[in-house]
Amino acid sequence: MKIIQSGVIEADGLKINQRQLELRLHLPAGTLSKENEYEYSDVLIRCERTLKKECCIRYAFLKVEADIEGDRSCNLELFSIDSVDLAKNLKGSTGAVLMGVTLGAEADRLLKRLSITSKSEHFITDALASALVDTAADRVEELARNNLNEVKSCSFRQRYSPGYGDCSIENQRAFLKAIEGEKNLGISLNDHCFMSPSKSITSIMGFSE
Amino acid sequence: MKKSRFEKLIKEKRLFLDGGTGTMLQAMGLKAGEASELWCMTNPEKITDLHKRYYEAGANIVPSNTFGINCIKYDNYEEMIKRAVECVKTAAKEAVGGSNPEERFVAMDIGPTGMMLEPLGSLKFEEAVEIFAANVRAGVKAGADIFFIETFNDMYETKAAVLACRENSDLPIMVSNAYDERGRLMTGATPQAMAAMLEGLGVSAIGMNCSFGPDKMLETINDFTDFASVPLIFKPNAGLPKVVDGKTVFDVGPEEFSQYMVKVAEQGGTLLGGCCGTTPDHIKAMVEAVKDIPYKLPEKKNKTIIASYTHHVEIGNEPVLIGERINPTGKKKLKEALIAEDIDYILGEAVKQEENGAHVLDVNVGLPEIDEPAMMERAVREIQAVSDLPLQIDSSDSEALEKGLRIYNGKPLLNSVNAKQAVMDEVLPLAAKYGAAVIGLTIGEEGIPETAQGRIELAHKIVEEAAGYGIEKKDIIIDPLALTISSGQKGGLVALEVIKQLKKEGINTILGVSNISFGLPKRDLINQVFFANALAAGLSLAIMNPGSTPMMDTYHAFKALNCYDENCLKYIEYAEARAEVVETASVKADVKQAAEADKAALYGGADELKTSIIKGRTEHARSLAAELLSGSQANCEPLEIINSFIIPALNEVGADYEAGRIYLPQLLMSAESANAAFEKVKEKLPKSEADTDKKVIIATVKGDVHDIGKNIVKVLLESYGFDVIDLGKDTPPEVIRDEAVKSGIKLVGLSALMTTTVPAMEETIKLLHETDPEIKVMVGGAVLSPEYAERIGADAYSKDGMEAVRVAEKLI
Repeated sequence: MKIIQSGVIEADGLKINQRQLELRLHLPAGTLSKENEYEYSDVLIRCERTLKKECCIRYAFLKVEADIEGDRSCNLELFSIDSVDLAKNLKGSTGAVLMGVTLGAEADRLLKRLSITSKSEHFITDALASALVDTAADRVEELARNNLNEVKSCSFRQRYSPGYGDCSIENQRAFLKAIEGEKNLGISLNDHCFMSPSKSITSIMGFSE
Repeated sequence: MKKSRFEKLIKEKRLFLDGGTGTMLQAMGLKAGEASELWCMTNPEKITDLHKRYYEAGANIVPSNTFGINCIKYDNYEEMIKRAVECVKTAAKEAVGGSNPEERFVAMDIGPTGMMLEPLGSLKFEEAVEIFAANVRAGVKAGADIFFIETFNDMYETKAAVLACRENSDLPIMVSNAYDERGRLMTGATPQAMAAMLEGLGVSAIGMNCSFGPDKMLETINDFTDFASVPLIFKPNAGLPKVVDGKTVFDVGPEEFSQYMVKVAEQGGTLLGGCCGTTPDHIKAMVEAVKDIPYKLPEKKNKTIIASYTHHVEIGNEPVLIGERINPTGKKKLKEALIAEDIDYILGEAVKQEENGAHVLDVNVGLPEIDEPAMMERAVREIQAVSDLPLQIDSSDSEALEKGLRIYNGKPLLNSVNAKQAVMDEVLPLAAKYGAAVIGLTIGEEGIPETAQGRIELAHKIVEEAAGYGIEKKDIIIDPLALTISSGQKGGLVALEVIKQLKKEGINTILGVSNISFGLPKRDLINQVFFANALAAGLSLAIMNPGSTPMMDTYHAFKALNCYDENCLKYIEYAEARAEVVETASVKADVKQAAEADKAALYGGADELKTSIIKGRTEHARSLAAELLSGSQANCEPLEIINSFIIPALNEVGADYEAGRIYLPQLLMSAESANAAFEKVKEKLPKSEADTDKKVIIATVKGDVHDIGKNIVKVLLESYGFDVIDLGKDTPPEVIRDEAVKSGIKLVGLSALMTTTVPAMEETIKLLHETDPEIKVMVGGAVLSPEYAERIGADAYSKDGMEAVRVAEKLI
């Protein structure tokens, strides 16, 4: 039986990656560190505070064996993925961490509400939520790395998500089944394999011992 | 027969459920990633053996291995369910020792679909009901004794499963949900809210399973015992999994588990079992350990509770406020919004009332011009996506009532029934089926009695009639009716007398407070004093406008004076917020004074409007526009405000954006501020001038759920005076075509973010052009380029929101 590590991350403890946020707000690099002529910094702070108060960040990760056959067959113990891009990413890996993180249904509700009350706050909060879930994924990666390094020193690959490159988004189904995404994270998929809650990230991180 | 035996037994003695299935099957050879439910077909003897071991360990109720089976996952689900139920039946017959064979039950296990329901996900409520209904019918055919709905982490999906059981069988239903570390379901519901809804729906037993071990479960147990009146299920995991010598084991063994379960039993658990990691040894140890603990059925609670999908509201303690603004009676804008199907207006009213302090929202969409049942269903569904307040489903049309009650996620309040026999015959069965608390108007066959006694008698009649449907007195809330004192001066006194009398009898009351002043000047004065009197008489709920300052003043002062507000903290918070509002109002007064003083000051105010728009201060822009329009000496003409201040401000912001001097967030905030000012100005424009030819339909295409880009375009177009019909995201081509035909609008904007959804965009363009070659389609989105747009037949492409405005103006 595979042990899935799962839990909750306090949103207040996460400092949102500013560059990620700038990208999502369509701002040039460094804008957020400057004194701004307009009054949107206050709005940004208010939106971030509300988002962090409302959302509930959950994570789950699981270690599996990885076996890459040929140039595209990635066997991840519980399921296989056929992808040249992922195979390249995982090359040399003996194992992989399957991880998922979400801001929860609460974040989706907040966004829906803002889409009614204020389109600009909706846009800003949507950008904040995307950057926040990305920052949370970094934290989960750190947790997973520490967890694995407790046993043996490992070298890690970059995170890779189903839906990128030639890795079909259909792989989300097997992926979420493996990490018991519905039970641990409350994530489900629609017919097009988009995740609900929408501010969720799943990724595969290869490692070699 | 078995049904009544089960219903009787669970109220007389503690019964036991099984332990873990998945973890046991893995120990028996189930491979990682292999679907355990398939073993009913491939290894039925092993499944039967596991069930037998649980009966022999002392379990009375063993659920079938059907958790993962449903008609969307397996074509042969019926056969699988039949085989799985057969395994339990065989085990119940063959088990030796353990539980009394006469007290063994075969439960058909129902697990979640794995899909999220609308509005958070894509599965429609009725589709979910139908998926579960197929399982239920198969379970009944297979011979199950009861249904066990377990490990659901969403209230809405739980309701769908319960309704499917109720509508397709008369077998008892047990429901056990998986709560998280916060003591809530993943989608937010508390145990109290779940208890309110599930008891209303007639479930035989409720509780929790999985997620954590018995130690943590003990922390949540009071949330059930303090609220629920039905038997309570507790099925914890055997703690947490860990690896020991290369093997996965759970950290709470049978002995420790049983000691925890002793505490669970002492605190009120009446149906005990285990979940992940527990084994027949855990169950055996537990059965032995709790055998001498006296059985305790939860006490009957006499609490009137309604609930949303996150929380409950208790009625009868401190007064509860129901926001009245989503009811078209006397509300011109809402009427127009309902006719135009402008759901955003309704949602805006919902959010505003919540922010103003309403505890519950009334939803009444009754207009002769519209399909009320369809609109009720839509309104309830959509309001639930933006507000988590409980809803009062309000209609005189029983079909609309049923649509609203069914789609509602929680325990609703139904408004209303009255004491006329025909109405009671029609409405009370709905309240009973959907577990609603129900408002009873004191109207009889002869109309509204003039005396308090007459109305009290009608209240008793409603309570008695409701009892016949199994609706308890606590779930009936009587409206004594506040008749305007302008036509009969005793109207207020009679209503107050009814409230006082019914309070003594333990019956809750409700009033539409503002009716009392109809036909009189300065209505707020009368309303405010009557509201205070009604609260003092013991009114439980008030239907009122939470945006009314005098009414909210009264409410907060009443609570402080009557010890509903510890240390007056809420009153102080309210008073401080009020002081801020007063300060803002005085700033407004200054602007007005200046405006009225001389023309120069007026234009100073107008310049300030321009600055407010440029700086994106929405509320300020709205107030300034209003002040400029209403200045008594030298007010601005509406068109002058638009042409001289709003448009120039927008042009300046647009130019700054295009030159890279400001960025998207500022552009949007400015556009929103311009919209706010524009809306105020529009109110004063003659209709002929307010109507615009600049109309556009926008949508994100089918299959695509990303709507940020489309929303940006919408707000910018609106700020430039376009009327925008927004069809939302994941919009089928036919819906867009139908809207274009219906409205006669010749400009359509389409958005797509995913490469996979561009074919849907191409299909939509083709359909629109085939329908009417005059329709122009502009497109945008991350995956598009001008060349690609041309290739798929679009008439124009815009790279961003600002360019979309320019393009739209050209195409128009």
